[in-house]
Amino acid sequence: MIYFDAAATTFQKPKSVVEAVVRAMGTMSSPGRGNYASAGMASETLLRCRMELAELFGAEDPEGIVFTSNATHALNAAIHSLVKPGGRVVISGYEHNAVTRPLHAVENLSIHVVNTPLFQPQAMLEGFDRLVTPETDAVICTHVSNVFGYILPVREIAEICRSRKVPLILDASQSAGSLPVDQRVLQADFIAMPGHKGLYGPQGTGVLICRGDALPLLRGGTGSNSLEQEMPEFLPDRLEAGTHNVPGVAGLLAGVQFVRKLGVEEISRHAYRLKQQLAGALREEKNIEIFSSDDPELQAGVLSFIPRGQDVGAFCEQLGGAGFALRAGYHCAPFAHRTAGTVDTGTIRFSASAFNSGREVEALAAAVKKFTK
Amino acid sequence: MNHYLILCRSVTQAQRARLLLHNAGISCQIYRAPAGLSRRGCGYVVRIRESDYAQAARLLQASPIRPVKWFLEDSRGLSELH
Repeated sequence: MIYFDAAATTFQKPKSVVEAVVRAMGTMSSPGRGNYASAGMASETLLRCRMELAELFGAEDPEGIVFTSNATHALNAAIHSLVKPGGRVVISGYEHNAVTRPLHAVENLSIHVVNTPLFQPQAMLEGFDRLVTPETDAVICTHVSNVFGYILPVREIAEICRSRKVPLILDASQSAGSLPVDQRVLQADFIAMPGHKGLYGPQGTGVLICRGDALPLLRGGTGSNSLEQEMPEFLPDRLEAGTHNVPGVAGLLAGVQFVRKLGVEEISRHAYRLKQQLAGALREEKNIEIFSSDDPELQAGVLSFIPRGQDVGAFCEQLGGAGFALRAGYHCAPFAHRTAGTVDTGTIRFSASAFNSGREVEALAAAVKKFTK
Repeated sequence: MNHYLILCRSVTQAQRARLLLHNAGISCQIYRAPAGLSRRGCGYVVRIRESDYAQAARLLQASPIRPVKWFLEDSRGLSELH
């Protein structure tokens, strides 16, 4: 199988990640409970991972790095902290259900959507500029669309938020590890990300970078302040109730080290090159509609396409039968499809990882051409 | 030999303190805080030699780590520093 669904999860992991998980399962117990060697090793591993993540993302305080079970959990925690019934939020038209479903569940929430066309950042900025007012409780914005790879102008959006003192929640699910994400520049109140996509960690891991206070989403044991019934007032404990996924974090640490060694810029260049290669090949087919920009500032290594007149699911099954793993449908992002005009068909999504090659893309392009009617 | 115990609010802070002090050449170990040291229950202490107190205090003061309390551990038991 040639795997091209890194936007869902990176299937191929560095060997060091697998080894770290296995090692953790044999040597680490639960951090912050007992004080024997295996608990100490677990605590130390968690701290090391927080410190590596803080370095990678320009976060000042490693204790503001909170481990979650995935980006959805992280986003829910962030939204829970900032968004209240009857409030007002502004989001982009490319948000994932991990953002829009929690917002939908908040009573009487006024949700303002910046619906602007793909790859038009100026229009998007004008939209945010118009809609973000000092009365806005939060702006929630994805860095990169998980459907189209569109890189949103988050730096400028963050500046709008800062100037109007409106908190920003950044969804870095498709950018963490693949594009520069720097908290020193963005100063977002929360940055949410999965550990298992661009950071090459195991599934079951996620990270929430917190700049200030947060409200507990989950309440339970933290191994601290145990005589009190309120969750601790300090991070990361405030947001980390229950037993940690220690093997997951150990794997995530190895993944982050892999990303830092390779370099985010090089990972980004590699993914973009592969995306451009596929886009170039598919452009030759008149019955394939592709959603691509030739500007590397506007699109990451994710490409959606539609075989005209053919069902995307059925087409993707054919690709699967030929040994290519891609995803078809709505990608849990109906807002993105409505904004881009693909809600009637959905799309087939290509997303490469650091482990994919130009030869694999060449083979995929040939298969797509073969199955196109 | 006497020791100082640095009471930390969480295992994460205790680990950070240990790392900071260890990197400065100060020998230290993390222990569960003896019962009653923290009114809030379940804490961790970093134990250092008495002779390292001044340097440790300086290092922690200059860092973002905020000890909850300091205790002197001697033959009479534990006494809080004020």
